[in-house]
Amino acid sequence: MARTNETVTIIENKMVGPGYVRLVVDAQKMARNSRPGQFFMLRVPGVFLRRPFSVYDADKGRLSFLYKIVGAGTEYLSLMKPGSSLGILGPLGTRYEFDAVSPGTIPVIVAGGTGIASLHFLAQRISQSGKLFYGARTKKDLLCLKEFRARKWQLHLATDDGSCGHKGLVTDMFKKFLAEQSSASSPLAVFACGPKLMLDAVTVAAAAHGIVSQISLESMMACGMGNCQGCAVKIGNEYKMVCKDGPVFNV
Amino acid sequence: MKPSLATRIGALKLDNPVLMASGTFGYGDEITDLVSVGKLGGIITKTITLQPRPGNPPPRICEVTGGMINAIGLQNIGAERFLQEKLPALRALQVNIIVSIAGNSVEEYVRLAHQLDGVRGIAGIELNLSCPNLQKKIISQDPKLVRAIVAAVSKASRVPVIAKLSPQVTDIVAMAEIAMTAGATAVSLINTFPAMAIDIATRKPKIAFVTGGLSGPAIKPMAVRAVWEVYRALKAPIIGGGGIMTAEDAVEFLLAGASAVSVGTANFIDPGVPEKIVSGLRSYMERYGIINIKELVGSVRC
Repeated sequence: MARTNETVTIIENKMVGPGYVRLVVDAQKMARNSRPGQFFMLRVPGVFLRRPFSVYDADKGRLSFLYKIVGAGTEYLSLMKPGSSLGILGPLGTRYEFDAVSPGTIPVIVAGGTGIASLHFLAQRISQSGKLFYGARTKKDLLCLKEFRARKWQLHLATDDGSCGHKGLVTDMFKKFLAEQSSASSPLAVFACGPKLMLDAVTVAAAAHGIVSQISLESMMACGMGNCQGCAVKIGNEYKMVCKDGPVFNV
Repeated sequence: MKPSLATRIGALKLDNPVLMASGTFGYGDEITDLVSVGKLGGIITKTITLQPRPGNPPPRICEVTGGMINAIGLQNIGAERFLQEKLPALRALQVNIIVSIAGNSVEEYVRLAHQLDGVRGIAGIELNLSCPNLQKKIISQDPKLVRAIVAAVSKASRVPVIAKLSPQVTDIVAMAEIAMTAGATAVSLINTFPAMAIDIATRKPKIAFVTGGLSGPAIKPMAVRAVWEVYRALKAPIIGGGGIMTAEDAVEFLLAGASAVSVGTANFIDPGVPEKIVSGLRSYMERYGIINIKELVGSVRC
């Protein structure tokens, strides 16, 4: 395992949307070792346990995270200034398996809210372009569209209030897309991250078309390394650890 | 002179007093890439039961001020698989391995002890008598059961037997005395405190099992007090723990009367903590001219 436990320096910790922050740290080795889907445990001053964040990007010795301020941990984290030190541990967990995405296969990403973070990293590492199904609350909550467009991905956007794209669930668009596939269509590789209900809808719909989805789960965690067994999730008939057996699961 | 950190729990000799608390270091081989386990005093494994246990439904943990609450439910692979799949790797680590065990009856504890007895690589047995996350009541709240289990396992085992007790009793000294007179080599003080937290938006408990065990710095003063009370009354060998995050915390436990300390929740936050505690203990001894760590044990001035 290539994970390490280090203290790194913050290069950037900047608001990129309403309540959304991009954190960039200087971490040569960790950036090199990170794969899409993996996460890090960040030691945020002011809260007791470390907080898990999936990698948003890893390039040129810099490791980036994209997070939304939702509680005390992310609020304290957002207050940290460039130049300050941050204890981080990782990369941890499983990754999206995309090496096997053969040339003729179309990568399909389904993202909900900040679930876009790990999928952004995935899109950076897949050579071919694919289809992005992305849902958020409002237009302002849709992040990093520019990057997907630059990589020639086809965007299918949905918002709760209809301020951008389809008004309603992103999974409705995804289901419609699947229904339009015929036996002559190219095979699909489905990757998804977002709220639990969204993931359930994605996996059920994909399975109905005989497609295995790679989904990334979120959980409260204490250690991130499989030791505390706090992040259990029931997969089939047994409890798996989101941190170690996941966060990316084939369903 | 270089200070000596060597200590012992009965016949069990430790290079230093820093042990990994049960349930916070996996089976012992999970994070050997991040920790130089050879530098630790020893590892107390996750609790093993006779049959595999699936554990409790999630959410199993939550953060509270100064600590966390957990209700894992002793998820483990069972004794047979532990011996087959885990122990060979643990043996290779060259560190003292103390296996934590739990059962639903005296008989189950004894069967486990027999299964582990004589197995190379097992330096001791810790009896988890205090898990708060099972349906039945905490074993170490029942003096008769404590006496029966400790006596039976001590008889069945050739390695030191440590009784880990719950702080949730009227008189911790009385419980420790029962464990010691029944044949325990040492007592481990303390397990987590039964606790609860509620999400006020959903009005649901933050833990699916509703209640769990509180660990972390929040419980440290209560743990230190338990160690001191038991040491004062019994002068028994004690493994002290509860919220240890730093070498300074560990020193407090030694001063209160612990011969060794167990580091638990801190392992989740930073796997580098135990090694820092070992080196911090050395620095403390150098600063105060302590040659032998045993001089510290129970030396609180009160």
